[in-house]
Amino acid sequence: MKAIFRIIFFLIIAALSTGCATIEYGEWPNTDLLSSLQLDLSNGEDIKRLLGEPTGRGKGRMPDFPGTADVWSYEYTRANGNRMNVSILLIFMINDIYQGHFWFVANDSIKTTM
Amino acid sequence: MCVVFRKVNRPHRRSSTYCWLVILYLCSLGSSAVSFAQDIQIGKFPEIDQIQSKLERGVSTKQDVEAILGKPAGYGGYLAIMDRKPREVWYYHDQNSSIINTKGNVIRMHSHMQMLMVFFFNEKLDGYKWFSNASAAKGKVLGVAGEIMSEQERQ
Repeated sequence: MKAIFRIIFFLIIAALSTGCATIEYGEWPNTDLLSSLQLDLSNGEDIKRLLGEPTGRGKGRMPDFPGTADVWSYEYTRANGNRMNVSILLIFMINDIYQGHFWFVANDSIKTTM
Repeated sequence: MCVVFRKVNRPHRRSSTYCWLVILYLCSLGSSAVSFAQDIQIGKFPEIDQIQSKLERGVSTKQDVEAILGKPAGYGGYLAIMDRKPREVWYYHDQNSSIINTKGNVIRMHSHMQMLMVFFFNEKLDGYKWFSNASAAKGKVLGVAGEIMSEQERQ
């Protein structure tokens, strides 16, 4: 959530300012490679080799699941004129072993009025 | 929610990549030439109540969901840690921000943000979650080498 709010904060400032500059933050890993990861087998090194270094880390507690999981996050944001792209990938790990993931890519327009 | 962006002198604060990007962005526009829009609107949020009243878990299709909620702003995937079933994700959001006033180095603004994620399993609706800051609690974000601080206050 912190990552999402950071992105939103960043986009507000970007949107508030008029101009056509392009802002880009982070790198987006190839999500097709997620299918190469093996549950209960792939480890942190495997993930870094496939997806690169995560841009953030955190923890999560999921419903119907005992204990907590480590979360690795990857973010990519691009704002250009009135278009913005926000992409977030979360990888769930327990004891450095891959347990699942969540990602989305959104592309939307920013409308500003004076 | 009310958000305040305030410049403060905290030279020993750790810098944030994001905030440096903002500074660079503003500099790229020329700080004296930066003008501020009054309102910002991003995305369109569907009527949440319709998920419960018109859609059914395990039955409703993507076509049904699109007919009720509209086209999503984004797509993704979810391999849940609990049951390890791979799901598809549709993403909806909106954000409305408006400046209340600017005074010196403080920008005071209202900001309202909502996000909805809809999950599909085997092409059928499997669940959703959404959140909104409509009744946000007070919070703070520090960054920009300690130079810009944002505060979130209950309205």
